[in-house]
Amino acid sequence: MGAAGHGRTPVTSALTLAVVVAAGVGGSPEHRERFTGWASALCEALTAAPAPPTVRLVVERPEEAPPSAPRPCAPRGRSTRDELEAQLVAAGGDIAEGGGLLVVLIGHGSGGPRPRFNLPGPDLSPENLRDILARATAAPVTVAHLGSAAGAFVPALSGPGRVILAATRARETNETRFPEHFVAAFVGGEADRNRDGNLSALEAFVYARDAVERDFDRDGLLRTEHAVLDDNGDGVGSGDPKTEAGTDGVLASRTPLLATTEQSVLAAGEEDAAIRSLLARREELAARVDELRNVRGAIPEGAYFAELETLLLEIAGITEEIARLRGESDPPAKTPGGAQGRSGPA
Amino acid sequence: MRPDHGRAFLLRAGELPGAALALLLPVVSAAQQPTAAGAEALRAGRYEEAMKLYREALGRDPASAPARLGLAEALRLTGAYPEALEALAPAGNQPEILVAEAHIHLETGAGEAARAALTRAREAADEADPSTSVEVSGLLGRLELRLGERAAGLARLDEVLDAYNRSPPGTLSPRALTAVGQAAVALGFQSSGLFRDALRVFDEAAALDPHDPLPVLAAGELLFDKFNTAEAGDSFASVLSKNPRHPRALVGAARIRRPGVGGASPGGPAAAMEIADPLEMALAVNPDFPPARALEVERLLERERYEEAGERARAAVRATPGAPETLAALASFAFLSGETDELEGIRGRYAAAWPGDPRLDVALGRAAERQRRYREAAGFAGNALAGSPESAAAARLLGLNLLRLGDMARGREVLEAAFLRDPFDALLKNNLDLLDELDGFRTIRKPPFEFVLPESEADLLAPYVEELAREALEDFGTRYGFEPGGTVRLEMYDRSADFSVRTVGITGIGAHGVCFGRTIAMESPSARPVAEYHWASTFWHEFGHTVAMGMTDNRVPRWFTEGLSVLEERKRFGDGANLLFLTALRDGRLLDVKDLNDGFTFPTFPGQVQVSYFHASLVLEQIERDHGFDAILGVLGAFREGKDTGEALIAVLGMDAAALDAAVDATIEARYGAAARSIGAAPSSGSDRPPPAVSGTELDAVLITAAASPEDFVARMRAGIALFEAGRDADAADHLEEAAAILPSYGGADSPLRYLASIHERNGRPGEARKALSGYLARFPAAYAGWLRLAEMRTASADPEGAARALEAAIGAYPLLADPHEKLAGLAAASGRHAIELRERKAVLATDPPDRAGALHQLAAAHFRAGEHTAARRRVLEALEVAPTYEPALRLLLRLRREG
Repeated sequence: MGAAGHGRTPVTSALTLAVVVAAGVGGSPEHRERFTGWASALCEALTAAPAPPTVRLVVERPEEAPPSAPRPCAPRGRSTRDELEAQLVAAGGDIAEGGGLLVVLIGHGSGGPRPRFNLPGPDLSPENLRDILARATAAPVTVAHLGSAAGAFVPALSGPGRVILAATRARETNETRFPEHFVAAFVGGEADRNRDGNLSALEAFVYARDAVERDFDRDGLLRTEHAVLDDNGDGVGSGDPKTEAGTDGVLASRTPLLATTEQSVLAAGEEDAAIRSLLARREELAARVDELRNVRGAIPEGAYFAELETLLLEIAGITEEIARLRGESDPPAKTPGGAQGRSGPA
Repeated sequence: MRPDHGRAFLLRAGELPGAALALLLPVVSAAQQPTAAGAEALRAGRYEEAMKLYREALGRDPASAPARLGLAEALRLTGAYPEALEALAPAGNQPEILVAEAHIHLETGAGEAARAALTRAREAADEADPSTSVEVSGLLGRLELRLGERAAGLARLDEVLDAYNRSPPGTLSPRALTAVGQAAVALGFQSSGLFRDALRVFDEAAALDPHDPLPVLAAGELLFDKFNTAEAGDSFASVLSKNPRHPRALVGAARIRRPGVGGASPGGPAAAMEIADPLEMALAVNPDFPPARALEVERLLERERYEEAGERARAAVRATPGAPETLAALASFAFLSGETDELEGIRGRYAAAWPGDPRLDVALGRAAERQRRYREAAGFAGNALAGSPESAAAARLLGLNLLRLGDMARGREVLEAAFLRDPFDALLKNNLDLLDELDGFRTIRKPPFEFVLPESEADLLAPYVEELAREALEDFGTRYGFEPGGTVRLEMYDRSADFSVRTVGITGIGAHGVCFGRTIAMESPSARPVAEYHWASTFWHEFGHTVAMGMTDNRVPRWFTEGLSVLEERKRFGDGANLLFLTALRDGRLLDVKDLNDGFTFPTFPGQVQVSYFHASLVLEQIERDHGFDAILGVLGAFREGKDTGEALIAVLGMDAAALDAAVDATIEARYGAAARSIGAAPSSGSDRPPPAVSGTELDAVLITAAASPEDFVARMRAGIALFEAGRDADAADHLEEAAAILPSYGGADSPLRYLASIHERNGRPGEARKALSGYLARFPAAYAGWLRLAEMRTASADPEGAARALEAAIGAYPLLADPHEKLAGLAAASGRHAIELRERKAVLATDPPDRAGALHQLAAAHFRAGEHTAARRRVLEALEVAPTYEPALRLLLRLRREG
């Protein structure tokens, strides 16, 4: 499993995202149901977050959407190329200042010399999507292509301020397992590896990629899909993105897709100057922890943990002080355990 | 060190000049017609017809060398050795006649006579004809090696290669080329390229004379020796497609394709090898063919039929007293049956006749190896290697058995030395690759155990493996009085292919574990899909072998040690009869105790090995029940003294194998007889599950069958499953309950109890659901998901202790997923069982969970609760290293800081 880093300075905010989720042509009732189900689940996870974004959902057959679907996740239309374009352009208008756009494609893709994402009616080519996005917004964009041969879209979509997640390399055309796990990353908070209250694009990618790998290992199968991520604008996706300068992964680690805790929402909207200052100091210290971790191998272990503990104790003190200033009751320093299953974030 | 022949032995690619080909085309006169017809009959294996035709030809022309040679060949191939020599005698001064005579002497083991014939042939050979000279030198050189005249033999074989290199293309005869190839094989230890070159020369020879089987057979034997069984099989099949009665080809095929099922070449049997038993055919053609007789004895020894093996071996030696194969077979018998004096006598005789031929010690080593006596196998192999340092067979045997004994360093050294000489040996390559893989494994030493685990799984597996090993040592030690007497090495492989290499040297065996005594190799749980493999019971089973082998000095028969291991496995983990066993019982295919070894070593129907495992365990169960546990110890003691099954049973139980059979049969009849007989026509033997469930219009037919055969377990199951899947729970339950009543001890994966548990649960009967599910799991402990479900049910019914037991069992079935570890940790934390909680929290972390920070924090908290503050601090720092603003971890850090 790869160990992605954890950038701590969002270039956009999960609170200001606009989202378009498109479920393409299924080809069979089972696939249509599956694609629509994942799209709906993703929408529900996003809209259930502490600071829900606007989600525009398009599916192959909107008329089959369950009436019980939450209102924000009612399909906006059929996932034709024209409708997708209309929703993307509209979503461009949804983006608040400092925000960005998340586009998620769920369905079948095809590779070869003319790669396509299969939609009802004309399919979507990488160039189509590139041109539509150019018309839709100048804000940062994250595209998650969760279908087969998704890697074929990376070169055309790559660019400054762009994070491209592809479920497979360009030539991998088998049905993908990635979307199930990508959607799961938005549920439950366990994909937020650094527990900072935000699920970054990098964290969602790593979570899904590792889960796919476990699936194949568990089933004793040869892997037929290798997810890649491109965010350095070179048009070449990386299977193991990092947070080292110049590599794929840096921008994705600073691109939150979901606020997983109320605290992160509170922090983003904090008005108290003293608390804002403490939060800034805490972020600064957390960033120093990240830096320290990146040079761990170069420091004697004892010295490393001593320095780490110094930084962490200051962070702990600041966190206590923030709670005091907010008038939160000092949480008892009880230890977790006793309950079955994973404990959620505090 | 002799020079490397790679420099000089450059093979000529080449097309045969047209003129040379023309020379080979027969020009048949009227007088030669019987000879030509005889040759055709000989090539097709119609030996009697060939003899008749050749005799007729000799009657017309007594000077006809082809007719004389053909007659002698037909007589030799059918084992009429004296008559073959007589047939050649009148023309005894011709080189080709003398070579034929030498071949007969070589086959019957008359080394000096062969040397004399070859020497005369050499003297008589026409200097203008290099072929005869090359052929004779090749035969003579190889003979000299076997006679212990190493320097002379090697020099002569060098000359053969040089002669080949000097000769213009197309000038050497096919037989000479074959001799060149065999010389290259004999010298192959000096240069890795020679084996490959030998194959090319054999091909060259075969192209020159497509009718001559000799080069094809030589190639097949070389390929077989290099464990390329697929291509070796093709070679033998190619010969047999033209002559289905060729003894040497039949023996080659028999070595590849063991009798019974599952013994075919991994490459797939060629059509011509699809014959009943090539060995039987070979012996029918030539009852005295030494390699065939030796293989026959070898098989009898493998089946532990010592008396019969001894009779056959002695008869073989009477027929061909000097043949190294038959002497080696008799020696193997003498060794395994403890006939020490006879063994020494044969060894002396062999050493006098064949001082440079390692075959005797190699055969003894293989015999020891087949009976799991690895230390003695290594000893014999060492002897062979000392006498014949170039013997690849001896090196392989020594290296592999050292590895089985756990002497990895020496084993590797031997195999590497052999591989340097022969990089085309698949077995050597596979094993050395495996040893390279093992370098990346983690070795954990906890005397008397040494655990060798895949690095990526070691953190997760080690605590459970160690705990189970301790339990096994204590449990077996207490009851059997067993002490290992040395290190017990357990290797777990996360790749089935690696495990297969470790166990037999080639890929493709179906077992999960194997025991070499104090070395156990088994698959890690990750090597197999969830619920298909129960790692803990596999270890328990293999440790049972360690005990049985240790207590008998590795003399325990296969059936007894398997029976003991399965019985112990059943006692510890639960198990029941499955359909394989029941259908075999129904079809009268259970073996008698005296033949039970055959069920493992020479199965005759699909699934017989599994059937024999369970059957053997019932025999052991019977012994324990009727005679007490001490009787099992007594039988083990008798085996240690060298008694065979029959002797041991009489000595300890006071009954012979037949009487024991009768008792076992009565138990089996009482327990399973009615149920087995009730099973309808389907499934046939070999199926371990009922036929698939049906739906739709077929449902009616299934229900009618069940109604017509209410005592038929399978019919009831099919009806129950079909109704279950149709959502007709009440009707389904009726059939499934009947099925469960017919065969309460059914241990298949799809037990009726499994379905009943689901039916009870979805119909709001949790107590009955728990009971049914528990019953199912008691018979099929590999059902990982079932254990998790039972844990949930027990948790819901406020039975945390029971839930914890179910979770432990789930981990026993498959420890690599986080879920049961997390749940068990939670239960342990709630009940203050810190050690278990810590073990489980560490296991969660070792699963490499997505939420690493959370897992580290939980582990830190567990350490904190256990009063281990230093460890807690380290773990909480690691958690915060990943997630520096993770508030629960920050609070724990502060608390640790404040509490000191």
